Amino acid sequence: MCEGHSHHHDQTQAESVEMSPEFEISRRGVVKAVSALAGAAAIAPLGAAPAGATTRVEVAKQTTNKWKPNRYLLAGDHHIHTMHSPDATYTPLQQIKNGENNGLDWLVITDHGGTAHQKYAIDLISPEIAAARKQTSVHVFQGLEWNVPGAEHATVIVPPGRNTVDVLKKFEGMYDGSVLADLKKVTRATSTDGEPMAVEGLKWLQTQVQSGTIPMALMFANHPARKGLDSPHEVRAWRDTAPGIAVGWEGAPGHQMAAHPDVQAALKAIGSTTINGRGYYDNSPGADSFAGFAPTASENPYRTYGGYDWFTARVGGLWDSLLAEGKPWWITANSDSHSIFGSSLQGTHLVGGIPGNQDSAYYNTTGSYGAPVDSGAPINLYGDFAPGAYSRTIVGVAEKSYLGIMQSLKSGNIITTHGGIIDWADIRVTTDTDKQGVTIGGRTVAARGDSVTASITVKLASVVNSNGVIPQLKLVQLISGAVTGPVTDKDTIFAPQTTITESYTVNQTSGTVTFSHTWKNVQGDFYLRFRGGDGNKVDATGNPMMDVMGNASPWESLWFYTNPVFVTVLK
Amino acid sequence: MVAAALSEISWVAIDPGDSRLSPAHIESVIRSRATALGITIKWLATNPLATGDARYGFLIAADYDLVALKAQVLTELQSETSPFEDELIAAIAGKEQGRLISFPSDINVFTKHTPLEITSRSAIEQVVAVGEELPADAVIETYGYVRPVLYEGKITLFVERQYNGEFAPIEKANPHECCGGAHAPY
Repeated sequence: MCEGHSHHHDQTQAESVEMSPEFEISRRGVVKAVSALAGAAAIAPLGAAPAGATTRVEVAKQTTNKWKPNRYLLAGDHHIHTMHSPDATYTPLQQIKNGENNGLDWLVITDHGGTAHQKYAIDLISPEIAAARKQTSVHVFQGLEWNVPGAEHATVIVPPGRNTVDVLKKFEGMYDGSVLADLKKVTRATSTDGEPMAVEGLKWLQTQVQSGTIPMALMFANHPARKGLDSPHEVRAWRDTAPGIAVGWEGAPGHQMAAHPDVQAALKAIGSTTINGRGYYDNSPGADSFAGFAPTASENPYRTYGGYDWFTARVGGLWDSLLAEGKPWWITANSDSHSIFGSSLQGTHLVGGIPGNQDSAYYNTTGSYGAPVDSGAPINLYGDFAPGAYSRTIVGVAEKSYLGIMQSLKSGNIITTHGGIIDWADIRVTTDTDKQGVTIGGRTVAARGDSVTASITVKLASVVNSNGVIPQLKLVQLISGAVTGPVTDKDTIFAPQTTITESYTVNQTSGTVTFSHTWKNVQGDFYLRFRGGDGNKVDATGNPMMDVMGNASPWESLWFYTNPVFVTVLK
Repeated sequence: MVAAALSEISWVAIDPGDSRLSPAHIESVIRSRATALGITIKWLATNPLATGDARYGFLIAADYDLVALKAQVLTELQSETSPFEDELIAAIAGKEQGRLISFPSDINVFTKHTPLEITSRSAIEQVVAVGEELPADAVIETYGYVRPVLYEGKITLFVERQYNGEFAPIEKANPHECCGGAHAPY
């Protein structure tokens, strides 16, 4: 960090960038570091560049996530349940230790919002989390899985602090869809009449940050396509209402083990005819679902594709539609760990003696099931992984701290991996104007006519994953599309201009590989992102296939996805 | 089976009014009242009502006078005649949108079938596999639960490949419910 350096010249000088780009860059780095430290808005609005000469200040203002050679890469998981959820098994300390044992650096405890959670569970879990922090090196955030009124669930993250529990409790009491439904303020947790309450809730969180009650808050929508509840206009409303808080969604849901054949066999053994989808994505449209997500002959948005949510997996789909507006929206990958495949632990309040099938009537009067007991044998009915055992949200952070981690999540310096398919990936996008360039989640600038080069360096897997192998990356794809500006129809689902721009074959099995692509003579704003995988279950167009019900071993299609980089072409 | 002329059927629409009522509850009210009146329901469909307060409207058709049935169902649901009824009927009669719960069929839903068996022995006009061509000799297991939808103007059963290489309808009788379904009635 270079926050101690003087940077006053940048505030006043108005030179053309072309005159001394290298100098420009070093100065810009200073400006950016300082403004980030001051908590200034990190993202310049789309199309902010004025016509005419470009000043270094303007360039500096529009450049985010400056590429740097050194940073910490911290693996985490923002979606984890405990016995303080009506449908989960373990103590908070057990889940934290699970994450620690799987190499996580940070995690967020996100028990389900609801009347009993708000009334009993928060007060029970808060001291448990505080005590657990003393027994681990992992950064443990206390969060909430918010029932977003009118929509799906979402992770809410608040950093540890004096007011954390109070803010979470008030927020849940006023804005959780399930609480509101119990109070008969909305029809159902997911009914569309709750949509304004979601926006109000985000505004309230924003007020807590602006007033200094809490330093930051973040919201990531969870399993967004699972039931078709998160309509495009709702997601856009969250993002546009609270751009520093509502910052993304799970690109890949948890419960990645659910459709494994061993789980299917365990279901059959107890006489169940249930057939699980990967991620428990086995739903179909309901009355609260967005009509535009209805299945067609070619695709089913209610299923996962290569383990990823359709919103993210589909090239030119809803994620790209959001990015094509030129606005940030980030993806993560998490365990959603409730009950872990092969774990022998089970709750003490089961319905019908079936592990994982908890008696929520008991929970509703207590806010806790108490610690689980050892059944003496591995339980294969469970469809989840332990935190960190399969899904990872890897953030590049400047500062190893709670706020540092949250700042990076907010800035989009995030990649997601499944099954340890890679150790890490770094992206650097440079232009003739910005020679240092920016990294993942960043925004660089180019003059019209510049060349723009995007490079990805991937550290191939060097670690035996929890399936006992070192997975092999076989392909990397560069995906890019034009930034076409804010949409007029807020329910726009597709971005047809976004395509797989280039595919690369990975021939080596260890070490690092780097792939680059150069756009020449750029004329308009665009964005780019990368993904890659083990090459299994990929269709002729290079896209992941739909995961098969009851037979989708998560180990047989492994992907990593990066977040995007935006390129703003100065007019 | 002869393709269903949904437009020639006389439909009765029921708007449950209170969107807190689960579709399963509404269906059971319709069925129990019909049984008490000696009515055999031939067609039963749902359609989402595109109003602010999301809910399913129900559509009934049978070879009976359904005035009494409708009145009794509305009374039990504490609902009344709704301005959305015409819209519901137009959507199903025009084959634009809808989901069928009951329809003419003599297929045994507890055994396996080929696509041709399904289309020749029920009102279902096409069986479509999502994302792939459905082989003519595909084995379709319905698990006793068949809910075709109107898609591209046809009564369509969407199916998907499952673990054993066979196909199954994409709408499941008991999809996974987070929190045991405690957070949403459906």
